[in-house]
Amino acid sequence: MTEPFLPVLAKIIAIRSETADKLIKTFTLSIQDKADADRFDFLPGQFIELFLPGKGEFPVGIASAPAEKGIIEITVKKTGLVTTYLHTRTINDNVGIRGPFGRPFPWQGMSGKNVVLIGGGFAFTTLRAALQYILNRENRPLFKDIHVVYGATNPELLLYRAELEQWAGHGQDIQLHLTVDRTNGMAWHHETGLVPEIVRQRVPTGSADTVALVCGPPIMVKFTIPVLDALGYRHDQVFLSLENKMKCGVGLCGRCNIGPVYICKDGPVFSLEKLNQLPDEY
Amino acid sequence: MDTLVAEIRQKAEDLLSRKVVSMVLGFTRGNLPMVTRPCIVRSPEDADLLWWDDFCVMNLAAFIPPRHEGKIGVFAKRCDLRNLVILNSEKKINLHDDFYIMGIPCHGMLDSEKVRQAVPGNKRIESVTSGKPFIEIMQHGGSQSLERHDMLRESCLTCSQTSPDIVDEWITGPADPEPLPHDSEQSPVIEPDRDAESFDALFSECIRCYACREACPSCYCETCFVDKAGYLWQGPDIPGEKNSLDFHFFRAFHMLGRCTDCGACESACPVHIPVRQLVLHLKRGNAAFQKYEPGLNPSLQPPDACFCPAIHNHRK
Amino acid sequence: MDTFILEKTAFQSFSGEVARDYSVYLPTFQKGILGFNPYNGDATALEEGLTRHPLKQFLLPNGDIIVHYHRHPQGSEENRFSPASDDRNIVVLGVRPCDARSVGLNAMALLSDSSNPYQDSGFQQRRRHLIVIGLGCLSPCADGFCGSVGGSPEDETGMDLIFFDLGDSYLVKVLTEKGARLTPEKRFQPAEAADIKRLSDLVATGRKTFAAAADPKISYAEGDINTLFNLPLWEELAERCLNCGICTHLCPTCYCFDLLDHGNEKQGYRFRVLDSCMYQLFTQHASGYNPRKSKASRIRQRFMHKLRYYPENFNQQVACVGCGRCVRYCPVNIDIREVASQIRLHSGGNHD
Repeated sequence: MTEPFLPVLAKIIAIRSETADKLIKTFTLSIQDKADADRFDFLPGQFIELFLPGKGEFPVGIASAPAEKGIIEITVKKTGLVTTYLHTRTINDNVGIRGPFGRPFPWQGMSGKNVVLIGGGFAFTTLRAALQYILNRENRPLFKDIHVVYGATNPELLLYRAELEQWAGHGQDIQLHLTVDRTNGMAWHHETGLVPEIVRQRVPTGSADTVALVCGPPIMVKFTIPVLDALGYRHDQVFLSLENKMKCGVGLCGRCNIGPVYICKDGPVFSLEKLNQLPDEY
Repeated sequence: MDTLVAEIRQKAEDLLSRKVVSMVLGFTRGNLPMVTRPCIVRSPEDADLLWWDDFCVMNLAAFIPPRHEGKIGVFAKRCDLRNLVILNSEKKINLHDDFYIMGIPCHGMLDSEKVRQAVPGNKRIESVTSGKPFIEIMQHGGSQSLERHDMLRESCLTCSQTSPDIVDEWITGPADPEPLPHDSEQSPVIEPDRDAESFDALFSECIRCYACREACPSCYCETCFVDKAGYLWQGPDIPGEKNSLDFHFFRAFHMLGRCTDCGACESACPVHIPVRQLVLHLKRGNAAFQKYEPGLNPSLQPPDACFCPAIHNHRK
Repeated sequence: MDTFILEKTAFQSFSGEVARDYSVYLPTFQKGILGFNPYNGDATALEEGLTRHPLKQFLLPNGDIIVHYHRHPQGSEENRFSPASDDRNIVVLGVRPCDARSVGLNAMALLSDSSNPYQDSGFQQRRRHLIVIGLGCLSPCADGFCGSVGGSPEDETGMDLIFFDLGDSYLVKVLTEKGARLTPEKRFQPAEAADIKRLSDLVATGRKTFAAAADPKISYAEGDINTLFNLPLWEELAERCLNCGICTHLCPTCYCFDLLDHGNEKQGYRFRVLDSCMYQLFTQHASGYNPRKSKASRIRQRFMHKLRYYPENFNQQVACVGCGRCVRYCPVNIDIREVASQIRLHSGGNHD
């Protein structure tokens, strides 16, 4: 990492709408300079600060696993000033990337283990990166059983649905449980029910070699944790990805802390054991 | 001052033990000379925390707790009373239902910055005892007397010494309160024909801490216009582009007709900017506002508050 | 360590000489406020008293440009992001030990250490170019309490030279190579034993009065973090705290900053301004959710950061230099010493 405040130039090379209301889009970005691209080394769980000159920056999780050097995907919901502007951008537009920042999912510790990925709503982005990484042909043998529980309010709000169903369908050796709170009358061939309930029904009991990654809105996380407790998962086996308002992304501007840790540099991935030690300010 | 403090404590203890009020808003001693703390007392045993002296400069109308059950007793200076009336007419509080108002006849509050500037050297001030006409300053290595009148806050020098008729009772204090020397002929700090220079000169030290806004009882917006827009439209603080005036101009316009000239803004300012001057300048430039005293008459509205000629009997 | 004497009569020519090669700032009065103002040739000595604004303005200036951009939205040739640079050589005279100490405390948070691989290069560059000429305090200042936080009125931490006022002259100690460059022989005579004795006599006298000021200690807030978090103290302070931010603006060790943009889609820059945890918008998410919505939670954050989070991350040092500015200028008399004592009282930690 040379200079954390200096963005590298990247170009938007693809844009895809993830939801029918077009409020969530996935952008594929390509870092322009070869040296910058070669230096951009990341693991799923990390994030970047996306810079839109003249408008601002925002932190966003990397939604793709490392593949071609310098190419990443991000999935962004139209929320405020900068994200709205991003949604008006087109192919070939230039942006800036700072990163990768943050601690990724604990890949070393996950090696040789069963992995359970639990996601809710819009927060599935870095879990998708994790899943891509796990299912990569070279990496898959490193992990044992993979369970995915992913839910949204209704079928139209599920991200990456086609991709997930494809993975599940093509014998990719994962157990995929998609769920929605309500089907809203649409055709739906998977589960119906809130994520914590589906976790209770479908996720295997905890064991010495199982790890759970949980990413979702605070309310979903709040009700999922007791279910994992009941299933016997220890708190050092459960990992969450948190978010807070960020500016510098590198632990210098003093903004995103929970107690003595900064979400941008000590996180965003934290074990539940670590979170339990932190004050309840989230 | 001692009799006044004793009366305040007695009154608070009485009101709280008889449960006439569930809490009392007043001041308590600071841990340093020349500063006091707004404080809320909730039980009769704590009434002894209450205090009053010549440095009760904050306007208590800005410290009303957002949530309360039962009535609030308030020990209020005249300017505080007027701000309570303004809050009531703007429907932020309900004076009749929720407050028990005790007026304190005020002889002017002192400006701690004036005192420090009048005392030479950089020595720690150990104590300040205010009497009339002198103030005694005790420092390590000596003491000094200053004329009390010279140390009064600017806003107290022009106090109209009138108050709205909302007081449930007056705390009398000393038997013969002297009237405050009144200096209504203070010359304007902002000269009408050179106002641009005056504005720049007056506000050049502003660091935009927003203490003036926070100390002001009339600035009660949950999200101030400044917060909404961020720093940007005020001008970034790049050398050569520093711009504090936008904030102060806009705020002054929001204050016109609603400012009681209590001076809490100036007392809060860490760089001693005469914040009141902008509103006073606007007021001087407009005959209707010049004649209107905010907060004095609970049934009146500022000249720009509505289009009802019947209410504006003070307009000609 | 070399020790010299600079006669006060030579001070003006000394500062004039330094001003030829450096940008010089020293404490002067402007509109009745003592501040680090640009040297203009008038000062004949260093003023008593503490500047209202701390030293951090030279290391973390407002409006600090950090990256320029030139962009053609769809093309590629003219696109670039370029870092900004500030290599001005600045000398600040008359820096009190409390302010000088703050440089090191800020540096621990902003520069590379084992816990943070990223560093604030703007801060680092400025720190390298800054020359700090300190002025030791020989008697207790009006508002400070440096003793409470392990500082002292003769502390030389963070300085390149330190001046002590002996009356007709300054005793000058050279502390670093940067400082040595500013002590040319013709102005500075080597100090004699009598001068050094005079200084130690003054220091001894001063110490008695400092001790008499009876600084209560401000120490690391021990105890269970959740107990501290839930103390009723925070709601009590919220009853009078204005959340005005004066404390953060004037504090030498408050360094939280915001990053903002200036310009249009084609060109402009990203710059930094100092921000404050006292303001509501500091932690508000774009969605509108705010983990520190209440005033009490923001007050708690500031004191917990100063007394617990910062020391926990950086060698048990509290993020306070005892300059006293926050206490002096708080409109409602919130005092960090009292807060520290209250925490000790209620947390079940060490009672000293």
